[in-house]
Formats: sequence, structure tokens, C-alpha cells
Amino acid sequence: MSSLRQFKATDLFNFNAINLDSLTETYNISFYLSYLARWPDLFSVQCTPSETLMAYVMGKAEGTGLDWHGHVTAITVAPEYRRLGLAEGMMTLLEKVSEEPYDGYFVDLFVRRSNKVAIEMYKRFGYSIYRTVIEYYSGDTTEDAFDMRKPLKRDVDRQSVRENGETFRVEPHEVVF
Amino acid sequence: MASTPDLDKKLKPIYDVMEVGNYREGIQLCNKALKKQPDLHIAKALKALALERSGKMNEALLLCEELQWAKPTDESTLRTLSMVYRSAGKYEPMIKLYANASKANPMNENLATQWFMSLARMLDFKGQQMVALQLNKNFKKTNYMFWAIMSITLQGQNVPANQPNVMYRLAEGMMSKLNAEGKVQTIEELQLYLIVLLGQKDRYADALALLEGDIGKKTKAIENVELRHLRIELLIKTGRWQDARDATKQILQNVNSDDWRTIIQYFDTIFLPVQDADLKDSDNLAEARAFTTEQVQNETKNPKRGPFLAQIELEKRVQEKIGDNKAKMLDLLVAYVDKFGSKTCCFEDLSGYIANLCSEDASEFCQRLRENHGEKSGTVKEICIQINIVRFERFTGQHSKFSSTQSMALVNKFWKLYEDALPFGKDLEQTERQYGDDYSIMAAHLLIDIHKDTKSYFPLLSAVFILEHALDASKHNYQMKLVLIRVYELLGAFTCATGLYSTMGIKHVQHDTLSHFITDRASSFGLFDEALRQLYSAHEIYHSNEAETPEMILQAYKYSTFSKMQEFIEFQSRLENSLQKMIADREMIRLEFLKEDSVSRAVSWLQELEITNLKYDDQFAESRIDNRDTTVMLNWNPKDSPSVEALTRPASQLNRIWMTLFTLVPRILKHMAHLHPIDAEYEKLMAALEKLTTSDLSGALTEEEAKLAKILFHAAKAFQRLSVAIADHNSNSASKEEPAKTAAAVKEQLVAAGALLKRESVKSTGVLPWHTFHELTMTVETVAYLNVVNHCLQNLIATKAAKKATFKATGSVIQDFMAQCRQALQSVQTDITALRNVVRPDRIRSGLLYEICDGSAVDFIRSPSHQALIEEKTLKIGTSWMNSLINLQQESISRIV
Ligand SMILES: CC(C)(COP(=O)(O)OP(=O)(O)OC[C@H]1O[C@@H](n2cnc3c(N)ncnc32)[C@H](O)[C@@H]1OP(=O)(O)O)[C@@H](O)C(=O)NCCC(=O)NCCS
Repeated sequence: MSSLRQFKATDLFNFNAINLDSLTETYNISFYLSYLARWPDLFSVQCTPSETLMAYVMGKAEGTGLDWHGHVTAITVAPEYRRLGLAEGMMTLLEKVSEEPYDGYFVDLFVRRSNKVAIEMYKRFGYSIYRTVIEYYSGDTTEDAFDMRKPLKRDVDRQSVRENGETFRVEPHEVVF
Repeated sequence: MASTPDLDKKLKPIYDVMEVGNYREGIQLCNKALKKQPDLHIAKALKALALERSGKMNEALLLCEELQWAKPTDESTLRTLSMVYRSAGKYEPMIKLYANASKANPMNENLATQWFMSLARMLDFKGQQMVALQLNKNFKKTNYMFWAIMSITLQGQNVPANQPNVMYRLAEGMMSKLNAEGKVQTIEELQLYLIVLLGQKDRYADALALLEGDIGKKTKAIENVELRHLRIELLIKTGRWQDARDATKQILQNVNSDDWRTIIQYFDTIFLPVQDADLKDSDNLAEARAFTTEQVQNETKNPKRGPFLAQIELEKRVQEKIGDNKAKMLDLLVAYVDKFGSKTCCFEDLSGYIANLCSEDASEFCQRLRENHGEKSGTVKEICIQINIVRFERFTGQHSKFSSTQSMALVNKFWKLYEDALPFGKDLEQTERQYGDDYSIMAAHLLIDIHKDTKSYFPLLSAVFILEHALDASKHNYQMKLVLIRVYELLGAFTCATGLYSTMGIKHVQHDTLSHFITDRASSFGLFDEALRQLYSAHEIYHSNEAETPEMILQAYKYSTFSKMQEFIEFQSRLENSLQKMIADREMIRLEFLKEDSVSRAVSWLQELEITNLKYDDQFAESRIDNRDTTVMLNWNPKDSPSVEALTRPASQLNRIWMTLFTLVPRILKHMAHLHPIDAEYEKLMAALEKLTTSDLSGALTEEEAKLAKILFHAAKAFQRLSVAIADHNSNSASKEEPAKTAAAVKEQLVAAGALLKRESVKSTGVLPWHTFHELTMTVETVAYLNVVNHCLQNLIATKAAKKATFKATGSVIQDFMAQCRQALQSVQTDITALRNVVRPDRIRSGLLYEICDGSAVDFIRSPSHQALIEEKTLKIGTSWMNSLINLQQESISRIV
């Protein structure tokens, strides 16, 4: 039981239960607000009846031509609210919005190669690996990312996905839209 | 000065060196260019930028000001200037500059847009409106009309709802004209139209007509989560019950069965149209029961919680309106736990409903959970259910009835359960929590209860050991860290608390909402530098707000995201007017003052102190916004008892009274430092301080803080008496006072202050809790203020009195008082010397550590395998105490005058 609604700027005052978790990074004001200023319908939150934030997803629409698509920038669920289908609900909404009004060909996201939980989850949601981005994550330890995609209605011929995507290896600069 | 190939060639080397951050050379090149052509605006602007980037803000701003007089009109100069002003947080000058440039080139669209943006940065809605209309006139783009309408709407948003709103009406007129011309086309434009309509009284039907009309259809408004929700809200408001019900059911059946706000809207369509008296046999109730049952039945694979909770919500409302429904409620609640009891959030899902039960029902609920689930802990699922049952038991008050001995037995039981759960989590990732973690947290909660009951600090130490141990197995459990931070603070161990806090990755906006955990009364630990460091690092968010949020408001205009405009402005205002910001500001002033350990430096620090922003009036105080997050900490205490967050505060939460006190103190002292004559302003400050000292402060200030207020009041009164007497003597006024009378009056005040300064020496019981440090620090701080007062009193006589000899008697009164201040500091030192003896590592080993372990009732402590941890943590606490003591000792020595 959760209300799935658009994220509000003032929700930033209430997202601690989610962001105190070590896997979720807290960014500066501009990061969140620039998404809200441009794609308010791709930034959603799940909250309890008492308006406690449980989870959020932020996304954007980008690319040109056949590459026009929705992108999941971050998705996170507070530890006490995991395995309740919250991520699923938010992904479904983001895919729907990527179709209408954005009319994209697919939705994509980057995930750490080691994040097995997330990779399996996305597979269950219909995503497949499109390519491996070499050392996409830098920091203390560098790590490859999988670029995962799910075609939307507009991609009738499923041109945005491919078999064995994992073996297509690209450099980080090649994945900028 | 339009860009020409010639000019570009000239500037290229400057841009090149600036780009790579070589600002020194940039300045040189600019100087060279300016020598040849002194009126080359862009060179001057670039020089200003280079100066700013190399940290010479003042010089940079001087150049900008020069340029401002020259009224530059070329875009690159203006853009460069704007960069300098922005990083200085000055937005005002750019408005004039762009206004001027735009007026000189009315057909330059970019300049006019920049003019609009410069106004938007300052939230000058009226100015925005004017420029947007001009933009529309000159460049004929509908988008500029929407900017104008947004600007007008923002001017109208503060008009009280019951008053006619001219602005909204104007905005509506413009909107409906655009709409008639078919120019309202996007969802965001529609949203703006809706904001305008719904900002006015009783316009639900019109808003609904819009949503359901052509634009609504064209923009597929109903597909948008927010507008879909709004439409149903409006259907309800306009009494179109059937439509509203159909719409909610459609969503719940086909889109998202879990969506709580839609579930609530569905219930609105059931309950609002029916009088309570008619509810029982109404079709509505029958239909709601049928619908919720059907929804529950549809949840087969991976059931969502929403439909099950909807059933509970329905029966709760029936109970409230008709009654006679308790048995059904209980059955549903128990069944919910049977189904979702292994989910952590089960407790939170039901706690609102459980809180509504009478105490018999609440116990029956818990009893039935026990009957169904016993004490089984053989699987992860069972462990999670057990933890939820325990949460419910605590929440329904079962723990509240316990004696300390019973509570202690429960601590031991929870510890055992925690340990038993560990093997189930041996394969969990480092980033995940152990299944039994909440047992350890609940054990800590019980220990906190015992501490509150018995006033003993040993339970708190036990909580530290248990949580630190559990944290080893769950490195990132921030809930444990939050409790630990608070317990360390209660135990007076500030560096232990800051150490943990720094591992939590608290950043950016969290500085506003969470820093209170570490900065509240942080000055009381005697570690002034550490406290200041924490405050300054948290304070960055407020600078970021100034620098970043206005740019984001501009982004929203750029992308025509009108639905977010008010939200962004509210966000900005909540940070700008944050209560926490103001508290931090005051605390920083206190600590900066305390850094000046010689009286003369303290006096000149006060003289230089900028006080224009140091407000304390009621309007200012009441308009502070409290963004502090106090709910993130886990809490299973019964609903009418204080939360764990509240129970673990070292002293009452900082509030507006506290802020008034610590605004008045520096302001009054500043007045004295200048030896300003007594004026209306001083009397106003004194009246405010007097009001504070005579009101009931318990619960708002600590005893020591209240004492400080009183002491300062007396001292400031003494200053007032002397200052007035000197002035009267100097002017030979008819009302001048006998010198002896002045001396007696000053003495009366100082004696009163001196009496309050006396305190009993601190007794050590092995633990040095927060309060010990608070008492000692407050004494040092109070004397630091009194040193300034004494200095000023003496200076009044020395520099202001025409005949010094007249005030000789007063002079010796001051001398006596100075001796009292010295004594106060000496007594602090005596205490510290005694305490330092107690907290030496060898003494801790033979003293405190022995006491902790000897005959402890806590199983955890008795276990031989935990001895190393207990010793390590105890010594660490001791080190923190020692640091505080050493620092405090230096602070007090340096203040003996
Ligand atoms: C990954 C994450 C977002 C999943 O959120 P969630 O709300 O728990 O996911 P859902 O409940 O919607 O799960 C959907 C499905 O994904 C799979 N899944 C999710 N978490 C899983 C886990 N820990 N183990 C196994 N499967 C899992 C399951 O198939 C699940 O369906 P089921 O519960 O019916 O079996 C959440 O664990 C999280 O916030 N992790 C930290 C941040 C992160 O890794 N984000 C992803 C970065 S790209």
C-alpha cells in the first residue's frame, strides 16, 4: 500500500529513510531539481499513507532518431520496503510515461555488473543486456556496467535490443546521447 | 561592442588561459588589453572573473561596479559579469545591467530573455511580468505569454483565499483568450491553467471541464499520474460520485491495485454521499465490501498489500461511524499479520489501526498473534514475524508496565534472539542488514527506558556495547548508528558521536534535515573546534541553495515546467528560512566568540560582528521553518509516550526561545563593546531579555542556559546604570545621581549575577554525562561574556567619565566582581583536575570498567567473548571525555583575568 506519485522538490526534506542507505548516493540540489525542471513525469516516488517516502525513481528522455528513449538514472527502495513490488510499480510507470507522452523506442539503464539482484530483477521486467560499458563506474574500484534495454511499443521490430549483448563491449564515451 | 573577428582574435589568448585555470596570466593579459583600449568592457569583465576565480572577490566586485557605471550592452561582457556576481551571491546588479542593455537593443531577444531571467533569480514577479509581456510583443512567441501568466500567478499566490484575487483573475483572462485561440497545447500549459483556476474559490467545475474538454483530451491529461488524481478529486468535489467511483475502480482494477491515494478516493465516493445514520444498510457500504473483497481475491501471485489494507481501512471507518465492528476489525488485523507478518513494514502498515484499538482489544490482538505464531524462529520468515510481534507488543504498552528487572530480562532475551538469527544471515551482502538487527535496537530501546527510570548510566553503556557489536555484523545499519550517536551524546562522548556521524554519508540537503543530530548543543562538550567544524560543513547547504536553486527556477522557465515553479520556490524558501539554519548561525556566533580567548580580542570581535541578520523579533522567529527530520529514527514506543528520538535528546530540542537568547547575548555585548550610550535599541534588547528571564523556560532552555540569561541581564543592567550615571555627570544634568548610589546600584546587579554564578562542584560517578560538560562549559562561556562586561564597565569609567574619581567606588565594585569571575573559573579547574584523574585509561580500567562488568545483569556484558569490545569502547569513551576535559581546562585557564 503505497501512493505512487510524482516527486516534489520538497520531498528532498523527507527522503532520509531511503538515502541513508549506503547504496543510495545523495546528490546536490541541482541534480534533483534539473530532472524535475525537465522531466517532472519521469521522477516518481512511492510513499506511505503518512507520506513517508519509501522509494523513488528518476529518469529522463534522450537520444535522437531511433535512439530516442527513456532512461532510468536512479532507482532505489528503502531497505524496510524491499520485495513489496515497489520497484516494479515505479518501473512500470516510467515505461508507460516513456511511451506516452514521450513516445520513445525503448527504456534503458546502467547497472553495476556485480549488482546481481538488480540485474535479475530487470530481466524479470523484460530487460536484456544490450552492451557492456567498460569501467563505466569509477571511484575506489572501477567496475563495468551493463547497459540494459527493454523495447517499447514504438519499436515494432525490436531493433533496440539484441542477443548476447553482453559481448558487445564499448567505452564509456560511446554511450553518451 | 559586437563581436568582430578582430576582437575575437584579441580575446582568444585570454579565453585560452582562463579555460585551463591560469587566472594569473589571464589578469596580466587583460591588463595589457586594457592598456591599449581602456574601454574594452569585455577585457575588464574577464579580469573581474579571473580575480574572482583566484579568490579576490572584493577586487573583482570593485571592477564589476566600475563596469556597471559604463552600462555595457554586449552579451559576452554581461554574461561574464553575471558569472562573477552569481558566485558572490549578488543577483540584484544584473537586473539593472540587462534592463539597460535590453532597452538599448530592444530587438535583441537574448538580452530581453536574460533580463527576464535576472528578475526570476530575484523572484521579482512583477518585473518578470512586464518583461515577459514585452518579449511577447516584440518576438511574438506564445511561450512568453505563459511566462507572463506564470509571473502574474506567482504574484497572486499569497492573496488570502477569501479575498478577491485580481492577479488570478487577470491570469485567467489571458489564459482563456489563449485557449480560445487554440494556443494552450501542452500538459504543462494546461497545468498552469489549472493552477490559476484552482487558486480561486469554487472553481472545481471549471477546472474539471478543462480536464475533460478538448485540451484535456489533446494532451491526454488522464494518462498523467497527477492530473488523473486531480480529476478524481474534482469529480468528488463536484459530487459526481458515480464517475469518480468508476474512475478509481478502473485504476485499482487495471493499473495499480496498491495505489493508496486512489483507494482513499474510492472510499470518499462511498462514504461522502451517505449520512452516517443511513450507512449501515446502504448500497454503498455493500458495494464497498464487495469491491474490496473482490480486490483481495484478485491478489493471488505476489499479493500487494493495498487491497488487504483497504479492507481494514473500510472496517475501521465502519467501526467509527456505526460501531459494533470490533470483532471483524480484529480478525482482519490478525489475518494481515498472518499474511504479511514477514515484511518489515507490516508493523508500520498496521500501527495506525492498532493505536485506535482499546487496550483490551490491543492485548487480544497481540495474544492472538502469539497463539498463531508462538515463538517460532526456525526460518528467516519466522524471525521477521517474531520481530513484528515484538514491535506490536512494545507499541501496545506491554514493555511500559515492566520493572527494571523485567526489562533487563527482556534485553537478555532479545540479545539471545539476535544471536540466534545471525547464522541465517551469513551469506548476506556487506551492504545488507542482518535479520535480527531490530532485536538489538529494541534491546537498546529497553536499556534507554531503564536509564530514564533509574537515572543510571550503566544501561546506556550496555546499549553502546550491544549496538557497536551488532554494527560489526551490519556495517551500514544507519538505524543503529542514529541510536548510538544519541547515546554517545548522552554519555558525554562527543568524538565517539562525530566519528559515527561522519560514516553516514550525510550530504547536501541532508545537512539541513539531519545535522541537528550532531550540532544540537554541540558546544556543550567543550570541544569548540570540532563543534564549529560540524556546523560549517553542514552550513554549505545554505550557500548551495543560494547559488543553485535560482538557476533551477530558470531551468523550469526554460523548459516551461510550470507545475514545478511554486514547488521550487517553496523549496528555496524552506532552506532560506530554515530553523536549523538559524540555530546553526547562532551557534556559530557563540563558538566564534569563544575562539577569541583574550578579552581585548573578544571585544574587537564583537565590534566587528555584523548584526543586520541577527534578528529575534516575533515575526522572524515565527516564520522559521522546521525541516529537521525527527521521524527517521525507529520508534515502537506506544503512541502517547515520547519517541526514542525525543527520549535520547541530551536536553530539550532547540527552539525559538533558545534562538532569542543567543541572539540577544551577542547583540547586547556588541552594544557594550562599542561603549555606545544607552539608547532605545539597548532598552529594546533589555526588555526582550527581561521577558525571557521572567517567563517559564523549563522545557525550552536548560537550567544553565536560563541562568546565563539572568546573569547577563543583571550585568547588562549594571552597564546601563553606570553608562547613564556617567552621561548625567558629564553633562552635569539635574537628575545626576550620587556616586555612592551608582556604586550601590551597580553592586546590587553584580552581586545578583555573582550569586547565580556559584555552583556546586561536579561529582563524578565514573561516567561523565553530557550534563557535566554542559555545566562546566556554560560556566566558562558565561565568564567569557562577563569578562567583556567587566572590561566595558572599566572602560566606561576610564574613557567616558569626565572625572574618573567620581566613580572610584564603582570601580572597586567591578574589581570585586572580577574576583568572583576568577573564582568561578578556578572552581571549573578544580573540577576538571578531579575528573581528569577519573578518566585516565588506567583509572578507567580499574574503576569504570570494573564497575561495568562486576555483577552486570546484562548477559552480553557477562559473556567473556565480549570483554575486548567492552574495554575498547569504554576506553574510547574515556578518550573522548579526556579530550573534552583538556580542552575545557585550557579554555578556562585562558580566561582568567
Ligand atoms: C533493486 C531494488 C531497487 C529492488 O527494489 P524492490 O522494490 O525490492 O523490488 P520489487 O519488490 O519490485 O521486486 C521485483 C522483483 O525483482 C526481484 N528481486 C528484487 N529484489 C530481490 C532480491 N533481493 N533477491 C532476489 N530477487 C529480487 C524479484 O523477482 C522481485 O519479485 P518478487 O518479490 O515477486 O519475487 C532494491 O533492492 C534497491 O533499492 N536496491 C539498492 C539500490 C539499487 O541497487 N538500485 C539499482 C541500481 S541500477
